[in-house]
Amino acid sequence: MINLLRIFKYGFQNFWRNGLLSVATTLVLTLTLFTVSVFVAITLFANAAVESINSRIDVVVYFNDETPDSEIARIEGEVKKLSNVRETTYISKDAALDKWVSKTEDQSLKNAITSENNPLPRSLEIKISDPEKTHEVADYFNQETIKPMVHRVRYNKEVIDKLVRYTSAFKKIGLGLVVIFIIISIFVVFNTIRLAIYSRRDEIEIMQLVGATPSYIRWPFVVEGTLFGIFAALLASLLIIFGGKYLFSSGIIPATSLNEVLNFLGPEAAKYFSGASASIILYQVIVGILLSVVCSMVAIRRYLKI
Amino acid sequence: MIKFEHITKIYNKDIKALKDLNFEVADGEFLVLVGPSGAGKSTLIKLLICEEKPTRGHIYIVGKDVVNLKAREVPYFRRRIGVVFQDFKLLPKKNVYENISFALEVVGASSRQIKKKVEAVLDIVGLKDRKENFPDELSGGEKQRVAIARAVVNRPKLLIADEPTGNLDPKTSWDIIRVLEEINKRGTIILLATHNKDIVDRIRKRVIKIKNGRIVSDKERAKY
Ligand SMILES: Nc1ncnc2c1ncn2[C@@H]1O[C@H](COP(=O)(O)OP(=O)(O)OP(=O)(O)O)[C@@H](O)[C@H]1O
Ligand SMILES: [Mg+2]
Repeated sequence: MINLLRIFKYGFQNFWRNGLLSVATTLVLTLTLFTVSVFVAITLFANAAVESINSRIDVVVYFNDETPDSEIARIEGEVKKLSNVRETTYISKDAALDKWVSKTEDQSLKNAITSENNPLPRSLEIKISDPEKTHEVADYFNQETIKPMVHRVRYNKEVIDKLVRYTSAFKKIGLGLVVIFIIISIFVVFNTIRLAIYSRRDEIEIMQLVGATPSYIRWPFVVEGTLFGIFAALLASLLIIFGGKYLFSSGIIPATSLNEVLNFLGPEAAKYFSGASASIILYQVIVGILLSVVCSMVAIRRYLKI
Repeated sequence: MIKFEHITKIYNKDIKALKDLNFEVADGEFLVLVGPSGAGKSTLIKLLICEEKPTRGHIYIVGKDVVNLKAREVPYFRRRIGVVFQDFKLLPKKNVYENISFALEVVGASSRQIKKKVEAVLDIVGLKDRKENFPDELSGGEKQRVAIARAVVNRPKLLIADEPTGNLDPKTSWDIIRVLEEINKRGTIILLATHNKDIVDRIRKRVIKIKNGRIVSDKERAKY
């Protein structure tokens, strides 16, 4: 009990008395948490964006008016069985008309098409699970037996191509950068803490010589490391919150662009991001404490001769 | 009480610091260890407090073999020995009072006990009015006395003093020796390593002389 109080007393005391070194360690940890958080946030954001765009990719197949409904039903059944196809929707002539009416604002254009005189083709909307494999669907509709029944196949080709390029590049580069950056950060934090402990190796040696047990020596460092972690996490969170606010309020990033992106991604994504930014503070506290405490423990081993 | 048996210490490869030392120290004894620089005095002390392990031999303290102490037993063993190091080993960021009290905190003493014991020991070494000062505000002799105070505050049965009069003038050196004699009178074994001829000649205690890692003489009430 007495020892517990002393551990906290010395943890706090060391933190204050080593002022400059504590500040330096906290700042390095802050920068690490901040940059890693930003990196991770960007990665998550981009991944979510990619996911949500992926779900919109589709191929639309328009059928000739001569093609019997039964054939279309058969084709739909076959397309559904393709491994890359997630969902198909059959749009009948009436459904196409409804869509047309709801989308068109010009009254005269609306009136140009009636259910009796409806040139709109029947179509099959196909949602694809992996945009890198659209060719599977393309191959199917290129078959000699299917081709004559089809009026036109429309791919979101440009979008698909761009997306394929961006996603795979982004996944590789983004992930690589995050990993490299995290490794560098851990290294920097570890070395900073090691330096802080190195500057106190005499103290550690003397404590051992007067009969302090290793755990009695170690625990104040854990308390100190926890303080580094908490302060760094708070600073990093403030930096992210106020930095973000500044970016928007100063117009460097127009606020509308974020709203546009969020609108585009839908309410799911917006909810996801507000939830993520709340938990990011918690994660930073946990990661900050863990990182500095583990680094302290590893660094102090050298000076504890046991 | 303390028994050295065939103690040999070889530092990395060729440096033979101690060669086959054999001697005993009785309860309540005041033993002076002399010898030129590099003779092996500090090495002997390091072996005694488990800071180094001997290459060969055994050291028994009250029948217990110090050499084979388990790592987790070492801290508890050290608490029963007081050491005044050749280089003081005071903590520069702690003041005089804290430098002494932390040796008691380590043991888990209560704050009240600590205050009482530290005040008492500051009285013995005559530093009552300097307890707020930090080590770099003290003279060599004062630092030396802080080191002694820290070494005896746990009331050890054995007090080791490695060159405690190192850079001190004769008068201050004598003050230090008086403190050691005072502590010895209360029943603590004193092991004093020194090459101060004046002091050795005047206190007339048992003297063990080491040269090149060997005992060359061991006499009661001896001169240098
Ligand atoms: N850690 C070490 N590694 C290698 N050699 C060492 C080490 N410590 C001491 N020695 C050597 O062992 C020998 C004895 O050293 P020691 O410090 O015991 O001498 P000493 O009698 O205390 O000398 P002094 O009176 O100058 O303090 C010296 O030759 C020294 O260089
Ligand atoms: Mg020496």
